[in-house]
Amino acid sequence: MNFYQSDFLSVNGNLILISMIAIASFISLINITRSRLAIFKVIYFAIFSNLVCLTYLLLDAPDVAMTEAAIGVCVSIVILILFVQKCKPDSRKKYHKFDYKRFIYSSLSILVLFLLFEELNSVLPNYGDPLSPVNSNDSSYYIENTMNQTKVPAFVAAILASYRGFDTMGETIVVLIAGLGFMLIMAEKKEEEKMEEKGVTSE
Amino acid sequence: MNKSVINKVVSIFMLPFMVLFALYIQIFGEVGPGGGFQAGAIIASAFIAIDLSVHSINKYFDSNMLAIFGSIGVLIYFITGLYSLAFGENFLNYFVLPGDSPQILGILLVEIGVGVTVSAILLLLYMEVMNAD
Repeated sequence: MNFYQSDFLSVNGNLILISMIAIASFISLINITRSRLAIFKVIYFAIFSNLVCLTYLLLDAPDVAMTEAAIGVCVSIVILILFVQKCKPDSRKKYHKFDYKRFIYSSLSILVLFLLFEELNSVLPNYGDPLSPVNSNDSSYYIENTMNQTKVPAFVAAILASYRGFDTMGETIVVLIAGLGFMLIMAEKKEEEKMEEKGVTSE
Repeated sequence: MNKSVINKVVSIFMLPFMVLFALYIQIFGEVGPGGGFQAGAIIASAFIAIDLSVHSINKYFDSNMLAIFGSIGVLIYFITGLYSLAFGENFLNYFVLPGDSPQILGILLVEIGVGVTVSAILLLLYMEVMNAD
């Protein structure tokens, strides 16, 4: 990833930190496939969520980092651990037999994807470049006019709730629908169990 | 689940501070990082900690009540938008709200709606999984 930064220390400092985070997340994701019990996989996934939160901080997005830390690391992992506890326990049989064919095929496909990614990276503009199409169409309008039109100091809250308030309403409705749908799925199981207890057959 | 004394004492001690911190992040979402989503997640985490360490919160939070709270949050958002329709303006036009800075009031109301919905739905998801067989 090529950073458009003005001084030497911020470029190299960011690169070193992001490389360390990349190596650590690669190791934790590889260990998901290598671990035996399901609970270990959930723990490695929690480590990966932590590293993603750090990456959001390094890319100057504190709102997203806070949300990832609260939801992705805490609530989501608790729900996953509860799911793991309620499923039947893992079998003790060891299934680690090294399969050469599978290893070669997956390595080749990862290599092809990596080469494609490098090709894309040389064509796309640098990260943070003020002349790139992402940053030069709307960003300058928002940066200049947010304080005048709405007297709100933070751009993120103003764009999220005022300039693009309709989209945030859609997001909230999606959260509500997801929760209600999940409640309906779980309630159906409870109804079936109650009817089985009373001895009513399904007809 | 193994409930130890340390978890119990720390969860009970931290509950009011976590709720206060969530309110702080909710209200100061316009000045710094924060907003409705983050505050809702923190409130849900506070009550999940109580459920895991102290005792079950089944008699305080019912599934139906949490679903109704989630809908109330979306309703708050929607009513803030409908209020400007009564004045002949667009939907979600904050300039018709009373006061010196109507945009700040509008953003605050809208984020409160988002916070209520997110906290209720996260608690609902947790309780549904906890109360499954």
